[in-house]
Amino acid sequence: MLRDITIGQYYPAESAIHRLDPRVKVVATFIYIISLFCFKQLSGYIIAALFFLCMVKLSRVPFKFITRGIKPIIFMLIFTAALNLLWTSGENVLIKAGFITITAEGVKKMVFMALRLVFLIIGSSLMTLTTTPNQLTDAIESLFKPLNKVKVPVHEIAMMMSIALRFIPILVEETDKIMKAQLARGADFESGNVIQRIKSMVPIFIPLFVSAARRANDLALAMDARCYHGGEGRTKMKPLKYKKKDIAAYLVMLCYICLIIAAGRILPV
Amino acid sequence: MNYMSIKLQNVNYIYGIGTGQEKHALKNINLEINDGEFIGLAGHTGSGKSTLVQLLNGLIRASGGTIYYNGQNIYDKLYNMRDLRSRVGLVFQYPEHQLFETTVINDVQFGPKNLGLPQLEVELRSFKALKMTGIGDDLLDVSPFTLSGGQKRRVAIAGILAMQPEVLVLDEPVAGLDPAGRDEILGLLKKLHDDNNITIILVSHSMDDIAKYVDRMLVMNNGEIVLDGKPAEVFQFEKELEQTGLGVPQAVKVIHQLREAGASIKGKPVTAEESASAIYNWLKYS
Amino acid sequence: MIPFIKAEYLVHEYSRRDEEGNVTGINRALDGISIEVKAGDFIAVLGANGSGKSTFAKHLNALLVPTEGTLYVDGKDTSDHNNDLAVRQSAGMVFQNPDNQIIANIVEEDAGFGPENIGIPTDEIWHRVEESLKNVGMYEYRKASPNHLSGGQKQRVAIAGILAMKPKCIILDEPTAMLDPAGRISVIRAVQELNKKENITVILITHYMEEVTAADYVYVMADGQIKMQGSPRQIFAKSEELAKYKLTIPEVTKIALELIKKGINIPKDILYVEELTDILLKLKVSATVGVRKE
Repeated sequence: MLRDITIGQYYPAESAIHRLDPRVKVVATFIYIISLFCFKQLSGYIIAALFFLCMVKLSRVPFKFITRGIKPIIFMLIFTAALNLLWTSGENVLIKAGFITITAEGVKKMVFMALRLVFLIIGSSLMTLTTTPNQLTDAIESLFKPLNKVKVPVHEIAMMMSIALRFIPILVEETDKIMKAQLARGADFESGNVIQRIKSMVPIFIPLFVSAARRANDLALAMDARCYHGGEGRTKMKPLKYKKKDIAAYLVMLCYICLIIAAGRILPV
Repeated sequence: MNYMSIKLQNVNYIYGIGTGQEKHALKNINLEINDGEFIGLAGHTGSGKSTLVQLLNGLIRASGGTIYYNGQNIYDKLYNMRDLRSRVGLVFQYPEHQLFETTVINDVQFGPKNLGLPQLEVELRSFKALKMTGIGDDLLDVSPFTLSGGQKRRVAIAGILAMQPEVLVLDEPVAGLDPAGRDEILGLLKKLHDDNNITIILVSHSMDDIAKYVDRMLVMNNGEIVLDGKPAEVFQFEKELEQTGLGVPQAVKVIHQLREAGASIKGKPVTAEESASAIYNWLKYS
Repeated sequence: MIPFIKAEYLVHEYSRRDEEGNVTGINRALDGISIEVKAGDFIAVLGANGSGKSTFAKHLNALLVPTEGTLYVDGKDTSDHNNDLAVRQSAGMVFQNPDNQIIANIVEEDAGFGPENIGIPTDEIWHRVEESLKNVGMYEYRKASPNHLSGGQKQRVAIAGILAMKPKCIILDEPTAMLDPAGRISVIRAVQELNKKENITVILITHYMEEVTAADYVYVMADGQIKMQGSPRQIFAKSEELAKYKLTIPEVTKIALELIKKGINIPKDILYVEELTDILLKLKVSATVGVRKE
């Protein structure tokens, strides 16, 4: 059913990673992504991969869920890889056919670039798979709180994200219903040229906007009725509090980034 | 004119095939709806009644089984599905939420226009439909969004009527309306049925409304049709109806309770008036 | 005793505007409402669509301010915006559409939304959320997503969200209009229980006659005015007057009235099926004993 659509791709499980403070996961993902650009040699990739595999193991998320994140970008991946392969000049020419030149350096760069992209994607997938959208919103609100000082309405943005998460499935269902209702009135969404097709969407979009506006109005009243008056003086039912394991996780990340940097300087390959 | 009917044979519908969260919404439905019937379809939320009505005009396709409209298999490759949708008009719940045009008359014309009719015919049908639903000429050129809730709903129903369907299916057409608004809409349906001989399928969980208006009643539970018959007959199964979260009208309940206490009341009344007469006869003559 | 709610000649006018924002007409949605509600009462407000009952409800929650007249909720003047939060906290409001009033993505977080807004400490929020969800029978769904609940369940979550603010009064604006019979019963039952057990003042706005039979006092609204008031029995005994305001009476009351028309001597203010059958059975016994058969 359409109501089952979830935004993000949370994989519910009881694991050490799931239980971590969401802020730790956001920061750790950020550190991991930076670390991918701190090395150039094979050993760095091996360390990054091993570290990642450990985290996956700890998270108890089946590996196929993690690799699923790559599917949507596979085209981009191939494209970047091909660019790297064809545009890298080097001395060890492997193949030369017409204007196509493939060098050993090109192959190496291609493999590394592709690996980096894959690590980047699956690294952030691990975060979204182990953190609910609500926790993510909370983490973002908390981490970006300093921006309040420069008049960025952080609380309001987080609240908007959270409400969007709640209403997207409802509006998706509503779209389906309106579409069916107009089909029942003989509407045709499938034939005709581009302009005709766009025109045929009007009977869907207008009721959808009207409905979204009505819902927004209702919701604003309901929030008023429940004493909502912005982030000021507001307490939290589920405040984010760092526990020992979160500190430990930060330390692990610190060790990891040190290791990567050290490896980049010391190890030859 | 040919004898018309809708016939469902071993119809199944399963949601979310292949997602691991399959839900058997309709289980082996066998049903025949005859021309000119006024049918009440009852069942609690999630009983499968909304799925069933969407199958009837081809908006969704059965996972298994066959549906015949006037003897023709609607899943036949050559069958014209859009034609079916114009013959079986479906009014969704809260139909006023589909209004989108700038004026009432334009909105009503949307359906007949889609049928590819000549403009004159489109206009004739639209005026007729609006007249039937009691929308006055003064409202034709106003924006449908400025109308009251009850008026919007009647405009939306007119939008389906203007397609001149042979069968009219309405999903909870009186939801959220006050008593006067409910009577208006239901009275309109009765008139359509009586005057124009349109087959009507009324989806409702109001037993009082069903008792008052329909000739035949279907009760759904867990994707199956569990009861089928005249309201007076179906209401005899008070326990079963209560178990499906529906119950019986108060007028029936009174009679059943009196009978349980030993009263020998004759007949199977379903409305307040019928019950009062039966009780009166029992008090005076037995 | 000071009444919990006191409205004196309350008037609300909506102004219609043209495209340039000039006032083109005035719509008097409330036209001189005077009401007093005692703390702990169960009040029902009946009215057809457009009678002004929802506008009245919004005033009780300080979502609208009076154009004329005054309204005091829990001793506070609703026209003073400084009182908004205090009024909303002591008289919470549940709306018609279950989907459009649930804010959070998890049931328990939604129940905690109100307490968060009024600055309740975290531990106390958890305590209140647990208690209020238990009060409406939704505790076992506390981790669920509202999108997977039925309409009746969602409305009970909305009630819990209000309860968690510890209000003295709950205003329910057509809470069952979008529900099926089972959902309707579950919501009304929860509300009745809160009134009886927790002594919370209830103001139920509806057009379903069956829902007001349990009320202590009923107001009937039409054209922005209070046209009738009294106990449910007093109100339902006047079926013709109700019809004028586009309202009907419960089926069982209708049966009683039909019987009276036929000359049977029974009261005309019957509200419950059991009540009618008891009276009829007694009547039958005395008839067969005392009256000669025709």
